[in-house]
Amino acid sequence: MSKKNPPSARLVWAIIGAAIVVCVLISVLLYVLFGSPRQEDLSVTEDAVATKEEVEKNVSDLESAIRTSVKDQSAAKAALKDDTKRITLGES
Amino acid sequence: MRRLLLGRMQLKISNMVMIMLSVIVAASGPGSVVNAQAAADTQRFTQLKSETLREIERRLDNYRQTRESLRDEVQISDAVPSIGTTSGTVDDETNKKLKLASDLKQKVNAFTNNIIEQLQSLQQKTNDVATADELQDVVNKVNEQYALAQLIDVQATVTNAVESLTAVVDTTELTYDNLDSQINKIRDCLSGSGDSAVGIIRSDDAVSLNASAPRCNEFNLSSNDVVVSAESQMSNIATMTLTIKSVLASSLVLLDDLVERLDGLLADLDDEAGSLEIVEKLSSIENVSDRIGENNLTGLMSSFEAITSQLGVVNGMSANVQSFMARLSEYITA
Repeated sequence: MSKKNPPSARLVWAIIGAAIVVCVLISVLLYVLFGSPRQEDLSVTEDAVATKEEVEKNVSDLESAIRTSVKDQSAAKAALKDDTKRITLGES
Repeated sequence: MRRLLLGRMQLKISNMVMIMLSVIVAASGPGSVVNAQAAADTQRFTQLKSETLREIERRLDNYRQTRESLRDEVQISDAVPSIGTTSGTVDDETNKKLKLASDLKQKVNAFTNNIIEQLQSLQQKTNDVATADELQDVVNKVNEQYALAQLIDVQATVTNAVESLTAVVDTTELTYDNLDSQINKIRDCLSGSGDSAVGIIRSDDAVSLNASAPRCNEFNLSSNDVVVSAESQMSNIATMTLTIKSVLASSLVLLDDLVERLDGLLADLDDEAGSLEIVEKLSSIENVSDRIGENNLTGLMSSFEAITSQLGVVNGMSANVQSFMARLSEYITA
């Protein structure tokens, strides 16, 4: 006569197995969506803090970008007013 | 008696000479007038021709300069901007990277190139003209197409100015992020919490730097007020930068629309010029500006003028932001 587990015990094992599978699936899904949590930790390093020299260079680059922008805006204004410089031909 | 006869003969001879002179003068009069008229016409032809060439060259110089400035690519970093995060006013729309639409600059470049080609062809034609009628034809074309040519130049220079402002905004955001990282570091250094390597040593009310705390000595840790004051200044900078960004965003949308409208107006010329390229259309259709419509051209020009004056305001504001950032950087670093 073979010895068999009672039906209630099999049900418990089946539920435990299903729960493990669900947990694994959720973990895989989270990993795919958000990546490894360790990578995030790595991104928060001391290197993320800018140095004084970096900010000074940023400020200097900004000054130069503003100068270019002002120059280009002046060129646009000059193009808008080009009427005043042109020769109207045949009217002399 | 002999003397009397001699006197009469002299009188007759002098009368005859006078009459002959009068006849000669009378006969040569119209010829002189014709010669003078011809000389005046030649002078006017030469003058008009050189004026026309001078004006074409002046425009070509302007448009070539514009084309050169369009060639300079504005460097924009790939970093994702985060203005507004400190003050907690993150707005996805305003935090988007602002730049020209991908094909907009190519379109503007094509317009400018077409106008330059058209003017070069007119320049050649002007050099070759031999009669007053031919010259008048060229002169009419140069005068008539001015409004459109000017509009295309304005469009190119405004595109350039808008693109330059995108570089200003981009650099402002990069600087803001770097300042933000420094303020966060100061906060960490002052709190002394968390990672033991980052902190200060508090003994009673005295505050001294933890020698092992990396880079804390680079910053101003004189008191907790440093963070409060820096964050308040950052909040002002963020507000101003967001204003600049919103003006830039509206300029980009308007510019895109204007380029499309001009493109559409020129495409409408197809009815008369078939499938010719723009440069050929401009050379082959008389009175292009009139065909496109004075109101259309004036409307476009006013819109470009509006963008340009907006850019003037935000350039001034950017200079203030830059000066605030320079002062803040001095304040928070040791």
